[in-house]
Amino acid sequence: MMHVFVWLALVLAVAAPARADLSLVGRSTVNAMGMQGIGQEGLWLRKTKLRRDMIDRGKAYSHLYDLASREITIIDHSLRQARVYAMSALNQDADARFSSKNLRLDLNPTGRKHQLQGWNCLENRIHVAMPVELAGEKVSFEMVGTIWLARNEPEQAETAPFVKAVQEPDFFMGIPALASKSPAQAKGLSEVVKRLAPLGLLCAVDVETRYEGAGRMAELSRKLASRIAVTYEKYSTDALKEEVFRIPEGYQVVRP
Amino acid sequence: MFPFLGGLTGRHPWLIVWLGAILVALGSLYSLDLMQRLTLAPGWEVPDSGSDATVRVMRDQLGRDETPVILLFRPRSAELGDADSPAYRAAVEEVLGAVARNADVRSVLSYHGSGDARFRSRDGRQVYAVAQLARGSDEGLAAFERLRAQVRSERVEVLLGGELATYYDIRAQLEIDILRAEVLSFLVLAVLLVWVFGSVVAAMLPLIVGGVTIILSVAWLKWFTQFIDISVYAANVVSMLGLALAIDYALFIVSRFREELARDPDVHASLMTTLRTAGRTVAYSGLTVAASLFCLLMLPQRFFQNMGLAGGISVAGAMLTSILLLPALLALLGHRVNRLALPVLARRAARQSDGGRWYRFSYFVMRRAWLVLIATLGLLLLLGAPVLHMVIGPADSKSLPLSAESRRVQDSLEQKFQHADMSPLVVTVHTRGPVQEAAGLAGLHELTRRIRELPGVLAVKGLVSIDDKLELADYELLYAYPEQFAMAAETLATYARGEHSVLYVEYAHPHTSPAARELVRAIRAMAPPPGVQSFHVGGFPAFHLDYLESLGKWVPWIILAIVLVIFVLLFFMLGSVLIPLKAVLTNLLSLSATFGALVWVFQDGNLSSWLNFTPQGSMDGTILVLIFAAAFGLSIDYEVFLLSRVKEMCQHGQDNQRAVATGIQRSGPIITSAALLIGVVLGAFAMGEVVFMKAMGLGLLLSVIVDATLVRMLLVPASLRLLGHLNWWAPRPLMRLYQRFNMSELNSVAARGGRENER
Repeated sequence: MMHVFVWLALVLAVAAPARADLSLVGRSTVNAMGMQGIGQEGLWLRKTKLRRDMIDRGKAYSHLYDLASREITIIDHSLRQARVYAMSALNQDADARFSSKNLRLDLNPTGRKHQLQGWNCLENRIHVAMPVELAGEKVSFEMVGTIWLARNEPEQAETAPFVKAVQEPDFFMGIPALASKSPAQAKGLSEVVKRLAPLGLLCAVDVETRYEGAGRMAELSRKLASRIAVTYEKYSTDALKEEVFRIPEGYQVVRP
Repeated sequence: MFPFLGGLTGRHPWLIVWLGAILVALGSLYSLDLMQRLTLAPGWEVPDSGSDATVRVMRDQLGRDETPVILLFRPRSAELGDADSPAYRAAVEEVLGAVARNADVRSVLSYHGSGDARFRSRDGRQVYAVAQLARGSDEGLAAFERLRAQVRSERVEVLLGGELATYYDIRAQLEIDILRAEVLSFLVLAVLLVWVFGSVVAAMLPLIVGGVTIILSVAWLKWFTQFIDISVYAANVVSMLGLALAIDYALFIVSRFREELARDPDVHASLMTTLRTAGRTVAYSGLTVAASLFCLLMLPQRFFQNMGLAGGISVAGAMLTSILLLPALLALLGHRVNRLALPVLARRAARQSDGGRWYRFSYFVMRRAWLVLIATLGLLLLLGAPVLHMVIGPADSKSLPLSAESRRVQDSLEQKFQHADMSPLVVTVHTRGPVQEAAGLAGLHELTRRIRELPGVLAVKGLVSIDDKLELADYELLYAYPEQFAMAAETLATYARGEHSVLYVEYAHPHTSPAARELVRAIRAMAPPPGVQSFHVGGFPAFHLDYLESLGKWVPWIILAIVLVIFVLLFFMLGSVLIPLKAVLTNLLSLSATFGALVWVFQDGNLSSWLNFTPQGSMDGTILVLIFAAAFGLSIDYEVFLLSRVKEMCQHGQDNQRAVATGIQRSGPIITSAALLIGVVLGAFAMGEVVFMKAMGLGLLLSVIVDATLVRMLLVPASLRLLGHLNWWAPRPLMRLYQRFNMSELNSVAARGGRENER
C-alpha cells in the first residue's frame, strides 16, 4: 500500500511548478488491512530536486529524489540513517518486466471544482490499470477514484525543467523496496508519473487500489482493498534552504 | 567473647578508633560511585514466571523490548479549539513530529494519526498518544528523560503518563522524600538525644555510630554489586534501617555504660560490664534482626533479595559498630561522656534513673495480670481486625500526590476518556514450525478465537486478527506471499518472528483489578491448540498475578524461617522455651495490629485527608513484606532489651515479680527513648509524599508505638507474671545445650549486681 502512497506524492511533486522553490503541506489518510493511518505530508521542490517528508506510525522519514544525479535517498530520522539508491540500477530490472503500452490511464472531468489558495482545482475520475503478477498469478493492478488538478495556472509553465527530466528514457521514480519486490508494478507507477506530469498541478487525490482477476490472490486482494487520500492544504513559494535537499549531518550513509 | 572485646577496647581504644577512622575513610572513597553501580530496575519480576517468560520471548525472540509512554495533550488556551480543529491538530503534530525523530521511540499511536475516538476525551478538549519507548538496560528511564525534555509546546500542555512515567515520578519523589526525611530526622535526633541523655557528648555518640554504620554499610553494599544486581532502593534501606538501629543500639550501650559508671567510677570495669550485658544483648539483637531480614533472600524476586541483603548489612553494621567502635570511644571518653551536660536535663536524667514509676507500674500490671492480658489481647485483636478484609493490590499512580505529572495523566484518562487502559495483556505464542506456515497460523487463529470469546475481552490484536473479513485460508495465502502486500509484511514484522508470535489482548477491566488477573488465569488455563507448542501471558495484570502468587507461595515459609531464627536465637540468649514462643506470638499480634491500622488508613482511606494521600483501595504486598521483616526484627529488639534485663535480675537472685519489675524499670526508659528516637526517624519517612514511603514509615512507626506501649508495658509483664517459674524453663536436653553455649558473662555480672543489690 505504501508504494501507492509514495507514487501519489511523486505525482504531486512532478506536477508542481519549478519556477521557484515550492513547499506543500497536506494530509494523507490510508485505510488498509483494517487499519487507518492519518499522517502529515510535506513536499519541497527546487528545480530537479524533491524532498518528501512523512510520519508513518509515529516514525519520521524523508525521501530525497534528485533527478539530475539520478539518486533516490531514503532517510530514517529515528535511526539517523540514509540509504542512497541509483535510479538506473532500480530501473534496469523494472524495465525488463513492464511494457508501457499495457498501461491504461483514463482521466475524465466531473465538472466539480475547489480552490487551493490561488489554484482552481478541477475534479477528474481516474482509472489506472496495469497487468502485473501477484505470486505468479496474472492480475490487473487497478486504481480507481478521483483526482483534483489545477490547469493553466501561472506556476504550471515553470514545471518544464522537472517535466523534462521526468520524460528522460531512464527515468525511474519509486521506492526501492517496491522496485525490488514488484519491479513491474514499480515501473508501471513510474510511467503513471510520467503521463500525469504535464497535465496540471495536483491538489488532491482519493483512490481505491485493488488487484482484479479470477484467481485466489485477486480474490484475497479484493478483501484487502485499500484506500488512499491525499489533500494539500496550503502551498508556499518561499525560498528554501539548500540543507532541505541534503542528508542531515551526522547521519550514517548506506549505499546498498 | 565479650570479656575479650571489653579487654581489647579497654586496652587499645586508640587503635580501634584509628582503625575505624581508616575504614570509614576507605569506605567513603570506595563507595563514592555506588549510585552508578546500582541498577535502576527495581527487580520486581518473578523469575521463570509466565510474565517473566513473556518479557524474555518478546526481547530475545521477537526483538521487542519496549515500554509504553502516554502523552496527554491539553490546550493552553481556549482559542486553540477542540481536538479536531486545525490549530489544535497542528500543535499536537508539531510535538509528535519531534517525537518521530527520537531514536528511542519505536512507534507512536495517536488520535490524529489513527482517528481512533478512544484517544479523544469525551469533551473533545484532550487527546493522547502512546509512544513505545525502547526499554534498554535501565528500564527506559534515560530514554524517558530524553523524551520528556523533547515534548514542549507553547500551544499545548504535554503531560507524560503510563507505568514507566509513574515509576519515574515515584523514584524522583522518593529521592526528595528520603533526603528530606534524613536531614530532618538527623536534626531532630540530635536534639532528642541531648534531651534523652542530658549531655551533649553522650548524645553525639549514637549519631557518630549512625554515620559510621551508614558509611560502612554502603561500602559493603557496593562490594556486593560485583556479584549481583542491586537496585537503588537498597541504598534507602541502608540509610533508614542503619540509622535507626545504630541509634537504638548506641543508646542502649551508652545508657548502660553511664549507669555502670554511676555505680562504679572504674571506667574499665564499667565498660566490661556494659559489654557483657548490653553489648551481648545488642549482639543477639543484631543477629536476630539481621537474620530476620536475611530471610527475605528466600523470596525469588530480586527486589526482596536486595532489601534483605541491604537490611541485613545495615543491621550487622550497626551491631558491629556498636560493640566495637562505640566501646572504644567510651573507653577514651570515660567520665567525660557526661560532659557538656545541660543542667536542667541532667537533673531530669538523674531523677529518671532513680525513679520507680516503671517499677510501680509493672507491679500494678502484674497484680491484674489476667485482666491486663485479656484487655491488651482484646485491644490488639481489635486493632488487627481490619486485616480480615485486607486486599492485596498493585501500587499505581494513585500512590503519588495529585500534583505529580503521571498521576494527573492517570486521573484524566480515568475521568475524561471512554476507555483508556493502555496495559494490554501480552500473549507470546510458540508455534510448531514457522508461525506463518499453515499449522502455526491455524494454532494461532484458534487461540485468538478462544481468547476473544472470554468475558471481558474487547479485542485481540495479532497476526490473524487484522481484518474481520479475512478467514484462516486468507491469512494462509496472505502470509505465504507477504512481499506482495506491503502491509502484510509489516504486520508479520510487528507480530511474529520464526516460531514466535505475539497477541495483544485488550480488556474491559482496569489493569489493576482482580477481574484483569482473573482474565490472565482464564487464558493460562487454556490448553495450547494444535499447532501451538506453548504460550505465555504477560502484561501488567499477569505480572501482578505472578507477583501475588509468588508471595502466597513463599511468605508462609519466610514467616516460619523468621520465627524459627528468632526462637533459636532467643533460646540461646535466655535459656527459655516458653519466652521465645511468647515473644514470637506477641510480636505476631503486635504486627497484626500494625497491619490492621495500615489497612484502616491506606486501604479504607481513613485519615487520608489528614495524612494527605488518596485512598488506595488495596495494600501493596511489597510494603507488607518489608514491614513484616523490619518490624518483627525491631520488636524483637525491644523484647531482647527487656528480657535480658529481667533475666539478669533473676540471676541476681530476685524473685520473678521483682525481677520483672526491676528489669522493666531499668529497660523501660531506654526502650521508650529508643522508640521515641526510632519513631522520629520513621515518622520523618512517613511524612513523604509517596504512599509507599508513607505507609512504610507509618507502619513501622505504629509497630514501634504498639510494641513500646501495649506489648512491652502491658502484655510482657502480665504474661511473665502468669508464666511464673515457667519463664525460664526448658527441657533438660535443651537446657544442657543452653548451658554449654550460654554466654557465662552474666554470672560475673550477677555477682557484681548481687553486691549492688545488697547495697
